[in-house]
Amino acid sequence: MIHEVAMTAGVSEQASAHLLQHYRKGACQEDLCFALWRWSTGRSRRTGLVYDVLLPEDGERLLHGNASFQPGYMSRAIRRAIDEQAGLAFMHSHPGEGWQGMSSDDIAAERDVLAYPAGATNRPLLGMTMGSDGYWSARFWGKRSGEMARNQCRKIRVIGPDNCKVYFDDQIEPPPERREVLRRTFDTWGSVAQGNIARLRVGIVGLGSVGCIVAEAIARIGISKITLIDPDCVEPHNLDRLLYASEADIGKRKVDLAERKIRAHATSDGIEIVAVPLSIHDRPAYQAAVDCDVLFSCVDRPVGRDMLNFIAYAHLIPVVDGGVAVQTQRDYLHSAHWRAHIVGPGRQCMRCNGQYNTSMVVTELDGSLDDPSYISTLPEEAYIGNQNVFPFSLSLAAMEVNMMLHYLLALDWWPKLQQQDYQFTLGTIRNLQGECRANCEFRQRVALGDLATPRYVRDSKVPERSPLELEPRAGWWESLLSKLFSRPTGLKG
Amino acid sequence: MQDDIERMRHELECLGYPTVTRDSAQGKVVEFNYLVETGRNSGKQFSIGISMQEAGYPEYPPHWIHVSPPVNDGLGGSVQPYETGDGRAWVAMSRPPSDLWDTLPTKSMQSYLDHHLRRFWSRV
Repeated sequence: MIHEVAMTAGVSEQASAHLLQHYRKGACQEDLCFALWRWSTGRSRRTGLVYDVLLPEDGERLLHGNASFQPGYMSRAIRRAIDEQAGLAFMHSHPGEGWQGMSSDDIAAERDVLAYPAGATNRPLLGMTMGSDGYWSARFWGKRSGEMARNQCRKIRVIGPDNCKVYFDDQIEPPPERREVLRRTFDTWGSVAQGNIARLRVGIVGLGSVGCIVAEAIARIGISKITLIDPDCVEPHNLDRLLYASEADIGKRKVDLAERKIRAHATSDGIEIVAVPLSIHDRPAYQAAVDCDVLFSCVDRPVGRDMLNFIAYAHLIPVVDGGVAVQTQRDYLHSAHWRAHIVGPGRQCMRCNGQYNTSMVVTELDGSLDDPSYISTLPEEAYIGNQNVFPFSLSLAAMEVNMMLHYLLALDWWPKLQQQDYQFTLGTIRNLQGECRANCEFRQRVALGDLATPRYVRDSKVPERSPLELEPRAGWWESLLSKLFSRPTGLKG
Repeated sequence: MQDDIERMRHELECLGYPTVTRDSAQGKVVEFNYLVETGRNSGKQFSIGISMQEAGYPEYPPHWIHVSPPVNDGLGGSVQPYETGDGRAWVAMSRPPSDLWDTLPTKSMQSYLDHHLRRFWSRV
């Protein structure tokens, strides 16, 4: 299990306003505070989601160049953590820029003073340091073989409404080196941005016409960790839109096909792909999605969207979603439009922007959504058929990937890009803004992590791959042997 | 699902509707008598059943309406007639409150009856 930290920009700003208050006035004075966090557990990653900062009250901490706290402050923070089934985080500021190492005093304070009492929460202590430039670093302290041991975090994600900031420990996860195959990419947004983007794990849920193009795009820009989730196999009617598929691929799993192709096309030095042939509401797929830093929702079903909407808020993982809507009347194309949006804390959710509703979720869960007699009763505006063509999917996929890049690269002065809508017949593109309804359930789910799971998540196992599906992964020497031994030898039985 | 049905049953009881629960092909049903106030059947009493798949009421709405004696709202779609062990004829109709449930300030059986069920009967 790797360990990481994530928080909303609001939490990070509240902490940094307190921790950096003296540096910002020109004084060389550290500061400290406690905070609360919850687990978000994926398949191979545990993330501490920091959701509340407990600022010190009068007399609870002492400033003397360094900073120290009174036992009462720690007790108050631990009591709150226990009450809220949360873990205890200890934050302090430190002079210096970038990822901060720990002095022997820092280690002694966290390991010997704080980590043992923090065990009352049944969770490890999360220690966090903020450099004077606002750069976060973090580690967990928990018992290993009876000793209190440090688990260094790989990165800290700060999820804002306008952009996402990521702070890496370059020693654990060094940035990629500039390589000739990525020269134009590095030249476009610079080595720092490329270093941040390339080290993210990006998940694509749904490997249909849009998802495959998204996968190709993110593999080409040097992203080194990709998760693919889709339960379906290639069908004949996919062939006019599915980037990687040919007739020979009918019946093969879409995740296997996409994995094979993007492994061949990836520009990253060492691509790491996780392929899960399940629906996103199967537990192993859900956990694989929770391992990601950004998710693409390329599903066309309400349950999938509901799951991804949940993950975006509860696990602080931004989700890029989109869809194509085509209306055909009397055998003519009447209208077509496609739109893309990013959902997550501080942004309008998919339920509130009308991408799906709870009634659609329950009808899909009992199978009615596949019942033609049910579909025939839907009002015209509610039911958009499956009409689509490759160029529409291509345009939507480009819109989604560019929205992700805008979100990851955005400087503070860039305008917020929440939703884009392209009208094919009019040739117009609109930027749309909106907020969640006052009663939106997802407002209450921010950073809940493992404390909540949608009720319809199914316990399932990842299916084993058949030899037929594994065949294309065989190495060149296996192919050669196979060819040699399948040749006629002239022997007759 | 059991929790969903139990919560709906409790809310209906609090609104003054005595309820019973039973199984059906559309999941566990909470059943109660209902005096219609709108449409052509205004003033008549029917047995109503409500059921849903596992999701999490009240965030997710029940979408099956069971009615005895059977009625036809003319919408077609998923309509499944059946009979209970006591010989009563029923019809189960998939009628989710798609357009309104997520916009309701409070999601409850009170709002389900006031907004969705009244509208259902105004069409019958």
